[in-house]
Amino acid sequence: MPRNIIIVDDEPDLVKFSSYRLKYAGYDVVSASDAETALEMMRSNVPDLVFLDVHLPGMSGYDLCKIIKNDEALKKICVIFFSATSQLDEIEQKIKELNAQGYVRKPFEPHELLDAAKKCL
Amino acid sequence: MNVSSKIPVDGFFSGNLSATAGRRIVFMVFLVGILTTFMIFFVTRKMSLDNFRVTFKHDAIMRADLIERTLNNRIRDLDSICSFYNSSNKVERDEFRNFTASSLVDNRDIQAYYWIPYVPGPERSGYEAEAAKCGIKGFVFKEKSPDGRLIPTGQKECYYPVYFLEPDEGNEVVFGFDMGSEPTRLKTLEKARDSGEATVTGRVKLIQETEEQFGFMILRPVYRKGMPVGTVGERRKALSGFVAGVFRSGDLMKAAIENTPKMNLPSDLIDLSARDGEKLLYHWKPRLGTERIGRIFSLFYPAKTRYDCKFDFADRKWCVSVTPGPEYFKMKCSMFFWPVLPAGFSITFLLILFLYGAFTGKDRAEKMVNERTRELEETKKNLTLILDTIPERVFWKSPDSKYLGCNRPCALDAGLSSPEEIVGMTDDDLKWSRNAGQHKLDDAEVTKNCKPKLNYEEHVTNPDGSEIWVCKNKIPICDPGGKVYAILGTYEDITERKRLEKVKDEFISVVSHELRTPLAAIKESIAIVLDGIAGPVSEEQNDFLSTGKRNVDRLARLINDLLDFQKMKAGRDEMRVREYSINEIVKEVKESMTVAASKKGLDLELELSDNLPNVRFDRDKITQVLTNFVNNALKFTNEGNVKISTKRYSENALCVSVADTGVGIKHDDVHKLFQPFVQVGEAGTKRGGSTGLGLAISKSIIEKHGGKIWVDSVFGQGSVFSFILPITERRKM
Repeated sequence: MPRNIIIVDDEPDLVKFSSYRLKYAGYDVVSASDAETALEMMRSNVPDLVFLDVHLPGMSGYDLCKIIKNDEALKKICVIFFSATSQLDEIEQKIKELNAQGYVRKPFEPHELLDAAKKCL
Repeated sequence: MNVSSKIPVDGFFSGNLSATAGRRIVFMVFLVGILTTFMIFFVTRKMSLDNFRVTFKHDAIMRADLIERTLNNRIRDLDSICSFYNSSNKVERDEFRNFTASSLVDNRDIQAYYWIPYVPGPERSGYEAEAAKCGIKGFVFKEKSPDGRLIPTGQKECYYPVYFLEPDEGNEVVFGFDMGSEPTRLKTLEKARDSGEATVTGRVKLIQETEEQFGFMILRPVYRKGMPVGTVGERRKALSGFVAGVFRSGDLMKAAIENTPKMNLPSDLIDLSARDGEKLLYHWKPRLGTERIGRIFSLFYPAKTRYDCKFDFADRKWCVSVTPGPEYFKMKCSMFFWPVLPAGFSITFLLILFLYGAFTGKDRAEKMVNERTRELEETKKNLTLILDTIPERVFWKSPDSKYLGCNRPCALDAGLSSPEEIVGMTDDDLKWSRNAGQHKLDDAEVTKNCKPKLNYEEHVTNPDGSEIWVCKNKIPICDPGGKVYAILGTYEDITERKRLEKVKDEFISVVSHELRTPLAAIKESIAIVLDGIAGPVSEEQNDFLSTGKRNVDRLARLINDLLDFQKMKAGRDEMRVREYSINEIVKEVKESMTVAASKKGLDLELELSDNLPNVRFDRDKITQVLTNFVNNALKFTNEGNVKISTKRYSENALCVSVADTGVGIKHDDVHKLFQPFVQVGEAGTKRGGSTGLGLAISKSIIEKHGGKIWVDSVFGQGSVFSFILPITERRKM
């Protein structure tokens, strides 16, 4: 049974490749380039997993995560961050705080993305 | 630290006396010394002389008294002869001799006793005849001629001849001498006759005198028995003759003091009743000042002194004049005042010498002190200038965190206008008071350990809210006993450096992002096509795409290595240290590398030591190092195996090694291995996609863990790359 995934990132190439890999792996994938659009999409069709870039134009990935996790309807969604940071302690701390499910360091290999998705779903 | 500008000179001469004042003092001391010496000299001299005069006067009186008594005794002797006459009808020559004999024997000073009868003119021949009868040859009455010869007396109214004479020996010439022929004697005779008392002549040259001595005579009138002698007229009628004693003055004086201790008291005998020019009866010649030695001595003797002792002698006034002789002085006069002079002069001289030395010494010392002070001030000025000019902030504190001083930049940072103000303050009083607690802890740490704390960064928040970063050093200053008595601190403002670092960080972040992102896109594009997801790929396409992928991978690795290395070097690479089992990590690496090994036909073996404790390290980083080791081993080994082993290295460390049976490394190249961008191997050998940074990064990682990395290799036989990780307690890392 295909699972729904939303990829939220402002890098179109990354979104394109990630979507392609995940679709090829059998997931239903949609994408958004900012938090607001993503939230709208989530409300209309609640996904199982969100790959959420930390740095987004406008609302940040962390803020969006906070909204998701505080929303009764959305809080069951798995949140996995995309981050290019080297401050791993910081992001792990954030994940704990926001009750997110994990992170993938950019740039990533295709198998890292698929492993993360597999772990959540 | 605080150099005193005036160095005190210890001792008496520490006042600020000028050289002129010094000379004045020396002169004053000279004057006072000389005056005091003379004063003491004269006082002691006066005391000594006063004492001497008292003694001398006493001795002189004694001396005069002796002479006076002797004279009075002679008068008494004459009185007894006189009594003898008065008690006899007639005294014969023999009787006179017998009577006077004892007195003459006892008193050697008596020249002679005379019996001088009163002979009226007509009786002269009778007397002369009787004398002849008594055996006195050529007896005539005689007188002195003007030319001094004795000649028979001419016819006169009356005569006073020396008729009896004892002793006659040596006095023979006087027999028959008419005393009345000579005016002085005649006058005395008449005076004695008229007074009825003993009478003394003035000085006379004795008839029998052969020397220069003067003599004198004491005359005692004898009256006829039974005739009245109440008046002068009765006495003239009753006169029978005179008993006379003849004396040589010198002999008498000598006899008087014969039995007393010799005192060298020259004494003159003076007849005060005599006419001027005839007063001196005896002059004692050897006296002070008259002889040569005496004259020399008299220079040192006190003023000449004399004591005149007057007394009545018969009807005359006599005097004994006593002067002290040299020996008497020596004996009785203390001369201790003389040494006072040389002693006083010597003391003054020494004092002046000492003062002069002291003052000139003081001058020299003062000059030296001034010179040194100037040098010190110069040095201090230079040091202060250097301290104030360097941009580095310098301060020094006591171990209890009180400031002892600082340089100007530090004072300005502290919110003070000059460095002097900081003395005695603590960090609580200064601009950085918010950091005071941490500063005190640092001070205590440095003082306690007696070890410097170097190159640590500190974030300082100023009261106005501005923030700066400083890089600080604190160095304890110890005495030889190892006790810290001051802390020297330096710091520099690294806010700007920090800002630049941040800029650089951001730059690196941007670069890594901006380079990696497109590269990831290229890589993924190729991968998707190669994986056949986007449709079937021909063999030829596959070949080109593979080449593209290999190069993209290499570029990605290079970029990653560069960024890693940069971060490592800058110390900004975050360490994620946790406690892990090293064997687990080794197994994981083996797992991931097995495929690569088997591709090359090599065995990847493990040799793990059991019971190794968990150690704390950054899992990703150690994995990176191990992977790098294994990658290298596989790359340079063509046959044989690669073995990863773990073991306990020491009590505090464990060791991980990767051994291969590869080409090995030349001895000369070993030290280059861990340098960045260096690749070892045959010239022209393909790099095989290596960046040349792997071992340099590994070295940084291991050193950051407090470990050590090295290689043992035999060229042509293989290499063993090893690192050790310290086994540390949790809190220490």
